[in-house]
Amino acid sequence: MNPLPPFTARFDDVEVTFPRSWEMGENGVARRVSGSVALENITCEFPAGQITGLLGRNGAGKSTMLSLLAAFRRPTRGAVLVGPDGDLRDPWEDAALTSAVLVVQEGGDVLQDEKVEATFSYYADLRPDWDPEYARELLDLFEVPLRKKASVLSRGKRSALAATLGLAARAPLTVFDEVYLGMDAPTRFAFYDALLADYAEHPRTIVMSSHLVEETERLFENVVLLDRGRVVLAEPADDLRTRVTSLTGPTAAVDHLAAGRDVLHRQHLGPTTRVTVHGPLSDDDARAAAAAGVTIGHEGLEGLLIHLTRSSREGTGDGGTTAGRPLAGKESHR
Amino acid sequence: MSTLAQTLDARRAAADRSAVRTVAKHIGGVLVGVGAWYWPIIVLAAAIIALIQQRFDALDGSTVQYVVGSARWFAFSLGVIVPLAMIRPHLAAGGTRRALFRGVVRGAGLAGASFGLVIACLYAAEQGVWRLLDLDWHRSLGLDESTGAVGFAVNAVGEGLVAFTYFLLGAAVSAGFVRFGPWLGLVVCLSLGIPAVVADIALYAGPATALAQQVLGLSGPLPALAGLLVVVVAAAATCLALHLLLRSIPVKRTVF
Repeated sequence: MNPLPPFTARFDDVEVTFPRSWEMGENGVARRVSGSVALENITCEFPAGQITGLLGRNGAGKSTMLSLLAAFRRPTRGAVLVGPDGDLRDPWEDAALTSAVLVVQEGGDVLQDEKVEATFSYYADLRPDWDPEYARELLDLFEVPLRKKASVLSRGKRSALAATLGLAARAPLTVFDEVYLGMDAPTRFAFYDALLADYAEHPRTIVMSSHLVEETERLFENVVLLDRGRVVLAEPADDLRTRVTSLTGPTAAVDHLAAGRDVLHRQHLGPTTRVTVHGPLSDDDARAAAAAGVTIGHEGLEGLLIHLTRSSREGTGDGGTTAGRPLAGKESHR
Repeated sequence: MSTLAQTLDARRAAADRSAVRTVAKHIGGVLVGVGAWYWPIIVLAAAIIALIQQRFDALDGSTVQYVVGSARWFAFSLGVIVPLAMIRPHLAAGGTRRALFRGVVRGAGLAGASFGLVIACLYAAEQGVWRLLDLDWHRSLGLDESTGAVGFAVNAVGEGLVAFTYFLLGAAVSAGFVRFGPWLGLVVCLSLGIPAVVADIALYAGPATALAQQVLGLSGPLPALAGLLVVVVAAAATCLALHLLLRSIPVKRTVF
């Protein structure tokens, strides 16, 4: 069967609301859960053939957004479209698309009371691009036993199993939803290396949601930032990496340089102040900063995530001048 | 049609077929694995009942009839557990709800066929043993007391259809609770049970058979066939209910 090209995924004005429902509490007793809006006016795109990081704090709506791609649920309003460029369609109950989109979540969606090989066999039957030899290689790499039941594996091994499913399926749209949270550091880095190597050899669209932003940001070519169910920004990662500048030095000099800029965060330590401002400095400002003993740095994506999502929730701490203004309105949403 | 559209069409058809087959295969595997324990226990229970009855001079017919009644509840339990456990892995693996429904119906068919055949074999074996012991074989429960090929066929088809219905009922009950939560789910599930109860009564208490004999004046194998027809209708109704429940069932994230 002909392989499919990498998929694009697009969200057009998507809203997801959860009605009042019941869920099982920790003590095994059902409890009432009030209704809520999980996603609101989501319009963005995961471009074909690139790695996109989906970032956001707990409860931002990342998993809900990704579950729409796998047709685990339908949006309350709006459209979710996936497919090769120029032929995007609703994945709901379309076997051609659901077998080409894979959303892997921590622990994996596996047959719990069966041996790992039973899950592999199931995926192999339903995934036309499944590579059984690569799957076994990855299991060896992550030291996951094939003949054990998934339910008896440790959290780390279950995460590794989920990562294996995601990589070996070679789906044109592969989504890793915080799949690596249970892994220890060596396993996580082995996974990142395996991901990059296989992505280079078998190009596809990859979306990664993660809390470990500092660790994963080197992988990202694009970033979508969610906060409270809304897209705050959706841009190429390289643009974002230079988006936020930090100024560290004597308070008076730093305040002078920061005047008139969007200050996202401010910290004092004795006579030294560190401010985080939106946008790069001009060459003149950079020279002035050097002359005044102010050090210029760039915040990583994690810093950006913290500042942008904190500004909309807790404020920026002490004395943030223009902080508290979310940047959502300034950014173009693709 | 573009090459891409042709590729997608080919993948759609192949993925659907493969997904249905895989669901049924998985259910079949569970039936074999669990049945390897269940059926020997059933045989053992029938034998123990027979020995106890004989010890107290109370052995007056089939003892298999007392133990095979549990088979429908066994089918029901499997129907509750197996498809529910498969929903999320199946969708994550790339299957559709439609394929899951078809696969579950095929799986229920496998359950019905295997249960019907095993129960018919148990009755046939019991009849053979009773003959060897020079005892009269008869039973007080069931659609038909025929022995030989006719009895075997009636038992296989009747018990198979009931097991099929109960397996689907189990799947519909679990899907009902997932869809509607505990209270509304309970109401839905109670109403879902009606066809299965009808099938049960039709097969064992015989109102459909009596109706066919006394009101319609049917004779020979026709009243028994009328009973089986009612079971078929009950199975079809349960099948429809399951389809309606599964076709848009949402999937929640597994919590570890």
